[in-house]
Amino acid sequence: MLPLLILGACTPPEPARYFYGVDLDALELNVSAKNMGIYPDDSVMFDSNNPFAQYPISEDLRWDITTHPNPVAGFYIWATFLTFIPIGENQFYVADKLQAIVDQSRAEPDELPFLDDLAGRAYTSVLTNFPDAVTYDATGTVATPLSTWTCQALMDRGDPLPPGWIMATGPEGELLCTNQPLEIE
Amino acid sequence: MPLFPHALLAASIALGQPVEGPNTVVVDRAEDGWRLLVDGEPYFVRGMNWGYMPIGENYTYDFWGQHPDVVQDALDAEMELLRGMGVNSIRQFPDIPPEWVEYIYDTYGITTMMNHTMGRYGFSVDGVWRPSTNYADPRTREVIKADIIAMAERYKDTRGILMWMLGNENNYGLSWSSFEIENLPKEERHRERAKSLYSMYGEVIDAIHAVDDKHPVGIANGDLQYSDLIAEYAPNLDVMGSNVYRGVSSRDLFDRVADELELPFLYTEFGSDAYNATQGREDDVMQAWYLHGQWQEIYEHTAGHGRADNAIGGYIFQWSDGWWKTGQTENLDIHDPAASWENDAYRRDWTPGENNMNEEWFGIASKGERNDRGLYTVYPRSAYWMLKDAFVLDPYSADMAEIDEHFSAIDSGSYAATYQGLNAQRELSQMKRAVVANLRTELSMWTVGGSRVGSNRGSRTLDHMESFFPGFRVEPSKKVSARVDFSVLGNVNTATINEIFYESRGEPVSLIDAAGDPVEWMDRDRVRVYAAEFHVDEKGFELEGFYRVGHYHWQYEGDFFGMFQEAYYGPNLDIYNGEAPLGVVWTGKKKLDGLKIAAGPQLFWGANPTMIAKYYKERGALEYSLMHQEDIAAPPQVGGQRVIQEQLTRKTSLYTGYQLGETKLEVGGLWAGTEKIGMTFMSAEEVDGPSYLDSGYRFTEDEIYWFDTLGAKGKVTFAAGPVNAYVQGNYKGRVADAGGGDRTTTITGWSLKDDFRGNQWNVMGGAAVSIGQLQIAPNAIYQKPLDGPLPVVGGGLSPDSGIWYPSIVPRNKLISPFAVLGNREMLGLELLLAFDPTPGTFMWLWDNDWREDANFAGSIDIVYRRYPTSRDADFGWTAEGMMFAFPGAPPPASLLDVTGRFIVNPGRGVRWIVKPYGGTGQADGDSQRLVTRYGVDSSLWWNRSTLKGAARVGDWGPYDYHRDFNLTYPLQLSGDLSRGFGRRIDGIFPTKFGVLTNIRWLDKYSERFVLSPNGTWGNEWELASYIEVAL
Repeated sequence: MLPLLILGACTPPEPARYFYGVDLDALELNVSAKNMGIYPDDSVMFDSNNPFAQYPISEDLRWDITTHPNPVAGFYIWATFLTFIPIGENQFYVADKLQAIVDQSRAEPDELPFLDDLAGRAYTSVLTNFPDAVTYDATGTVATPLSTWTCQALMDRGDPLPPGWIMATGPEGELLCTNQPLEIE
Repeated sequence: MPLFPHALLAASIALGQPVEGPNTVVVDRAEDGWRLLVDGEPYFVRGMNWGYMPIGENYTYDFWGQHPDVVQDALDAEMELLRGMGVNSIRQFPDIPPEWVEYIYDTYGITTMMNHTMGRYGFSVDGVWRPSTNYADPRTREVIKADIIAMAERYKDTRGILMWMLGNENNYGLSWSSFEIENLPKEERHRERAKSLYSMYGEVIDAIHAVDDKHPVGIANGDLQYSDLIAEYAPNLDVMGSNVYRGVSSRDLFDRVADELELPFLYTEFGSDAYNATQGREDDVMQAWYLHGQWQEIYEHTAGHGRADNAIGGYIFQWSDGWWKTGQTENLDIHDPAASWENDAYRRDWTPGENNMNEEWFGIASKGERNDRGLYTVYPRSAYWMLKDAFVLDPYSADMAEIDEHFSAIDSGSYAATYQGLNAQRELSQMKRAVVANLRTELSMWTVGGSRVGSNRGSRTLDHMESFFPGFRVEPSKKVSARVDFSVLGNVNTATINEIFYESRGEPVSLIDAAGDPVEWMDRDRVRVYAAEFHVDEKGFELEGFYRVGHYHWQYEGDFFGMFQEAYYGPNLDIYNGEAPLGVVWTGKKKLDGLKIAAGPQLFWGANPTMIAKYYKERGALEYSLMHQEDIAAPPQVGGQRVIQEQLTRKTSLYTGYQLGETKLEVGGLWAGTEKIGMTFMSAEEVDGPSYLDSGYRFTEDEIYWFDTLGAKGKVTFAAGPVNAYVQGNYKGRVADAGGGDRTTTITGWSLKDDFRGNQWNVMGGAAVSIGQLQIAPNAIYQKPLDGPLPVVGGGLSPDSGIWYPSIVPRNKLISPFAVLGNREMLGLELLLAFDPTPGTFMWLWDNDWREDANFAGSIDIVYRRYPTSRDADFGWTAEGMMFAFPGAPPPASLLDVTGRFIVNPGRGVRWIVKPYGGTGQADGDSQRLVTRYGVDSSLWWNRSTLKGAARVGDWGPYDYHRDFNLTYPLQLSGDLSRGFGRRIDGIFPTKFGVLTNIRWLDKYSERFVLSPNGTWGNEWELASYIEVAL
């Protein structure tokens, strides 16, 4: 402790900084871990670039931030919620935002391939960790299974579906992605 | 009914004792030496320091205040043994009523030497307790002398008084300080004090002679120290008395008294302990050996034998073992083998550098357990039987050769078998307790009811509960002991309005099995360890281990910042299923004396696994300490405990104190929280201009730096008779948190104290003025955080600018390096009024409710706190035991609290303790509502019956969460009537049966209240009968 005291005494403190909120437009992604944003990884909570790990947040904030033009903000808010509310909806939107980051080249060029792969793994995580996950509409009453959206996203990326999952057509002609055995008529 | 005067008369006639008038006692100096003559006949004093104190009591025990039947039965048992031994005199102090002096003399022929200690252990002067008597102070001398003369007047015509004795080793207790004394060179200070003492002896001796010419006067000096001053200042002394511990022979003592003082000599204390410190065992043969040699020497120095010819006898120290001597207020039920001082004159169990005088083992009789009436049996040791044979010889009718032959024929080792037989009887009667240390059974039957109240426990309105606590104690040697108590549950009561209690851990729990079916888990947590402790006492160290057994703090021994927190939690430990304290304390001795190390997973409630080391020393007026605390690991998840675990930390402190006359100066430095250096935090500043989201505040972000880890504290305490005062100042950096709060008593029982948290500076001061028996004590504190609390400001996202404005909420200690809680800005003013006519039983000791010996004592404490700001967020727990931080905090407020404590103690088993209170308060959570509450707690004792009751108006419920969530009740009443057996321990009968009830009225602020259309209160009540049996 004594060297610390001496070192501290010789180092002048930085002045305090006024706080004016967080400029989400300027938010940059920090690639901090190989599984960041994929359940059960919680590295985003220790990421100094993640403002949502440093200040109070509310559940509604996810939806406000998710429409923000900077997908990095969306990634961080959904990944933050995923760490303490591990549900498929949070994982899905993490994947969605990672895909947007890649699509909009919102990272360093040499990081984009990694982020692209991360997005694919995030989508896969929805199916493997939260196979029955749903999302609700604005009224909060109508539930939509996330499996179909996830499978569609993987297929759009050209990624294979996880073992046991197939995209099929439902009785009314709708697309359904499922891992349940199907009755063949 | 007492037997006197009828039996007294009959016994006196039977014994041929004079019926009327006091005895005439003179010191006779003949050609062949000194003798004491009682009514004209030579009287050789075969005396005993006698007292009656059951195991579990201490110096506050009032034997003579017990029922006369109890007193007489005790005297009859003890005096019979003493008379059988040949003892003809006992040493007593002026609390023995004269009628009992006469009873002992008339019935058993045993005289009483009446001893006034003359302020040896302090004295009350004009209502102020002076713990260190200043014999140079004229008023002190006047008051004490008046008290002694009053004693002489009271007893001078009492049959059985042998003589007056003054003091008890007062020359060893000359520690007062004054301007005059401090001006002298160090080596002269003690002698100067001694002059004051002996000059006072001289005055008092003359004053006694002036009122009583029938009894001589002696002093009980500490050995022969200052014999020259005795000769100079007490020329009219009749008998030289001394407490002497010179081993088997006092060598030149008798000759020196004869030569230097020309006086007869009387031992006022002498003897030997019966514990062999070297071998770690009881050794009554060793004790008998010493007493054999000591009495032979006395005999040889009596008149007519050609030696000093001035020995007139002695008072053996002491009759039975003093179990209270070590510690004096704790472990009163333990026969402590610890030796407290070294004396190389007692060579049979002496090792150089080690203590060998075992204070609790000086009895020539060991002591058995007390019965319901407070009486006990004694078991005479070898010394008793040896002296019984020795005392047969009258020294004044034997020559030296006969004395020598008589004592040579007595083999002090030959009585061991007699004592072993008696001891076996004693141990046999206690054998169950040697194995089963504790067996407590609690059985109860409950019923509940109510209206407009929601259910909290299901639908049962009638239930029962059984709870057992078997405990075992192991003592493989006197140096090692261990104890473990278990809790075993029978049925767990669900028909109660107070849902949290120790046994509730065993309540049935509803679960869902793998098939999705409900299942009830009935038998969970039925058996668990309730408490455990061990103790090892080695020559080089002492080691204590504890689990749920409380320990004291170290703030009186160098822990200036309270790192090692006190761990006595009362019933809360059981209610909230606490697992603390858990750890060990190692205490060094000899070369490592002063070093203490504590370590454990939870040394006090909420502590991280930690180690605390302290080195503390006192060198005369100077004391100093160095302490360090190091958290070892993050705490394990402990289910069921409701405790806020702190972040890992380390602390170091330095302290020094100096006693300068009547003033004590203390200063300390603290270095803590270095692990938080670099952590960020937010601060708020009120502004008039542009502000964050127009909140009126501007916020800054900063980091913890090294100077935030530093703290300092200074305190000056002045004690000068009727006026005592203190002033204290603190500065602590943002993260320089000290311990758990000030647990010391500075002068008197003030409530306003230093909050040991960091992030503040404060100044405080108070004075206690004594006017007669009334003490008036104002106290004040002002404290201010370095960084104030954060306000609540709602946030949001600006779609235009893309800026996210986070909400601002109060800090909490889990995510912030500091938080403003008890260290919020405050101006505190306090007025404490206390009335205590017997300051010897200190009003502010933890056990004063049942130890206070005044007929009436009381206090009123008025505390005003002004909080101009709010604070940061505290924590709460959900019903499921999940911890969370409140989203806000109470507002600024001014609060007033008045609490009273009154003890009415007419004696003879009756006592009434009343504690009224009232005032305003704030919740611990975030409720904005101010609460006005008042009530009273009462406990009435009538011999073995106890009636307890409480009434509370507008107050919080009984649990912490009631205050967290501001849940109050318009009216709460409780009552408990019980009848006990055995004796009270800490004010409570362990074995008792009784009935109790709790009734609460509910309104919209109460838990479980069901709102009715017309707004009528609800209510809930419970009634229970119970029996508790404890071994």
